[in-house]
Amino acid sequence: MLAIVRSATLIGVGGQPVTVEVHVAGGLPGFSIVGLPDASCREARDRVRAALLCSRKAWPATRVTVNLAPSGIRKVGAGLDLAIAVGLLVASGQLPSSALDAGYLGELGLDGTVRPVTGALPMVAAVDAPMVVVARGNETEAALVAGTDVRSVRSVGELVACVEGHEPWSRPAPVPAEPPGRVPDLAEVRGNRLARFALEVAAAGGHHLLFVGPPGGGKTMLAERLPGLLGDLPAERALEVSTIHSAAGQPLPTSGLIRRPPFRAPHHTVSQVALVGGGSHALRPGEASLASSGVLFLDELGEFSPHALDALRQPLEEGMVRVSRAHASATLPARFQLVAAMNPCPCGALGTGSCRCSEMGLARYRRRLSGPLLDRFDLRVLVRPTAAADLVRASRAESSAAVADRVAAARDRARARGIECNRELDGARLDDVAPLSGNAEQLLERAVTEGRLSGRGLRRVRTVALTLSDLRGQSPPVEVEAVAEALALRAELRFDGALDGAA
Amino acid sequence: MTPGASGAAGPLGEMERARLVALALLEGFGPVRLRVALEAGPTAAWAHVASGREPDGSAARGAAAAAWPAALRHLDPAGVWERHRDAGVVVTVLGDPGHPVGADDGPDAPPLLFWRGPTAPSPPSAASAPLAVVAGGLDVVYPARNRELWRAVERRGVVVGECPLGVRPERWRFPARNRVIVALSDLVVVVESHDAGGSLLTAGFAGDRGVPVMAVPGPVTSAASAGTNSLLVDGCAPCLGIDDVMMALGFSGGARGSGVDPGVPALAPTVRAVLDALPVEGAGMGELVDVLDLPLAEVSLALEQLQGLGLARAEQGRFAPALGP
Repeated sequence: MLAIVRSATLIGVGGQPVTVEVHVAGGLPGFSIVGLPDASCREARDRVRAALLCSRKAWPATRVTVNLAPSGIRKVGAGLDLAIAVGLLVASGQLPSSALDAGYLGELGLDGTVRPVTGALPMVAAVDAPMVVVARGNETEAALVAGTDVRSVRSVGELVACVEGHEPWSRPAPVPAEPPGRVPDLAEVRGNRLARFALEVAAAGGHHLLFVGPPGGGKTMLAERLPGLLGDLPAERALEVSTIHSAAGQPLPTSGLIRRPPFRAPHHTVSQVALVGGGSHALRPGEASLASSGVLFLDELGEFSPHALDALRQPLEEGMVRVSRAHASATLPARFQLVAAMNPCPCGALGTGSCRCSEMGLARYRRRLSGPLLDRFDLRVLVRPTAAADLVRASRAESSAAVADRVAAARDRARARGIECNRELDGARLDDVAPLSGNAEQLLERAVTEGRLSGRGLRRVRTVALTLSDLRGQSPPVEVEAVAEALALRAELRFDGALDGAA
Repeated sequence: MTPGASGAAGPLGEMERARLVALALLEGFGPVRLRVALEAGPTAAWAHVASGREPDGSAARGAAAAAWPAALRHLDPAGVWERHRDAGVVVTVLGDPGHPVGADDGPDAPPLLFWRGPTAPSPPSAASAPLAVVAGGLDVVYPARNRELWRAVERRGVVVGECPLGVRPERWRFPARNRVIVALSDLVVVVESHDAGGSLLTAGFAGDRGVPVMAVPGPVTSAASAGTNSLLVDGCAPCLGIDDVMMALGFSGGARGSGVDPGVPALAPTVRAVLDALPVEGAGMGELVDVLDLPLAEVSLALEQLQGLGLARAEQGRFAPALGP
């Protein structure tokens, strides 16, 4: 007898529908799985056999063939165990065929327990069935998939009882969103007014931001306060972020949905694969994808391997990472805001007059950071250690909540243009949405003529100036003050030895 | 192409210059032979070289001369000249008013110099414009990793060399180039040198011409400073920073923008306040905003204006007064 069960596997951050065909027929006892199963998938035989026997079901003493279609896609992980078990039970007459109306996703323990899988969210979304049965631990995230009826079971025994109608199915109950955790407050940063303002602009426009300064200057402290200025994710972005995190095996909140923009801060020893994704096996998303719709913070930018940093070019340019392996390829979303902190030189004191670095050491340090990467930062601010007076005096800095309100209002204006934030604005639309006043044009023209700004830099400055206008609540044209501030926030840093032209 | 008078007396015509440049492309034609050609008159020299003799007509010395007749047949002076002109290269010949060396500077003084840049053919007088002396043709960027720097100098000041376009910087051209550096300098500052480095040669040339030499001290454990430290031992003045250079050049009071410079147009009070607040070691935008307690936009506009007027400069995100005069 043949049973056809619907399930799914994971490629990158997307689920791929899989049809599990279980054929039980006469012949010498045997069990084979075909359809490009990976190692753990192939081990399903032993897991399913023990699980069925422990659940007081019979293991057919005849030839069993399992086909995982489509045969061209590599099937990864143990999530197909449950579907194979159901197929086997139906094909051997131990379960009514009504069971095949639903899709199944779960790993099996030897005792018949149904275990949760990584990437349940994208996989459930891919299963081609109106109802999907998952492990209890996956029910909250599976429930996020619109249009799919989700049921959960703890064991094969429970599943059999529910299918046969002896027990009611367990449905996921809605879990209330957890209260937001405490985030670091901007008011805790003393001094460095310009750096704090740069954070506000970065939050409002999603612009990439670089802090340069000596160790202990407060660069990390500032960067950690950016998430506190960002509003909750809009619904579609929240679902996308939750999907990516699910596929990466990252823990999700109890309500299943990630509502806050992610903040990822990989250590500088991170490898290229860990940073942008890939791996030889499951095309796992990297930090860049986990930071999608949020912030990727690279502390000590000068310590990261140039190899790893180089891989960031594609996501910064295209908002995604394309990964290709021999057996599969995937597109991983990676639309993150890049924030970085770096020392100006290996000893950290360049510019203060007490730098101890040799010319060669300095040149070597600078060579690690490519011009094109540094060029990506539209906001570049020098940060210096807070003066003693500022540290001791009572802080007059605004709280994150106050700044976040302004940021939210600015973001609303950006959304009215059809984009999530001004960083995503297509350069071709600048003249339409951000025309310049006469004075603003003149200022920019002089900057270009006098060699302080390149053509590309010009477009970037205009985008930041638009964000500054949004923060003020000003409608077009963009005024000269906004342009002047945008220029001020873009410190000229050249680490590739060039004297001009690459602003 | 106007035919001009040949011979060292009187200015050279274009055709003569073209011939001289073409001769400079020949194997074995260094500054000494070129000088001989110049003094014999380029047209006459051309004829001599075409028949395998030295440019002054005497018998050929060395093996390179054997290849000259054939090489000359393939050289078109007019074409070479035009290529240089189209590339924006200016050529000065010994004897021209703009040429930095004269007939009494020795038989190996560069008879031909090639210049390119907005201030060509003279060294830039503005302190902020750079000058680079290179060992090969102005189009042969060496080493390749300095391409951006080369282009930047060409955009802002001038790149100068002894070779026509296309000539590769062979080894012997590097020490040769150093004498051009000295010819264009009022002061030589050697920053780093191994104990057999080319910079020591430059210091030697400088001594011969009476150009003062300064050296930057370095760690005694560093091979890169062995040469400069030995210059100090030999009596060169030490240079520890820009103030030392300014003093050696005769500017007093350091590099601070002190007092009112009569050449500077009247500045608005805010802009003047920003200029006065710029420290010599430079300050970041954030620092300036805090110190001045002015709105960010105003400080930024003031700095843009000051940079445009050449009164302030930006270096790695820090703003400082421009170096005078």
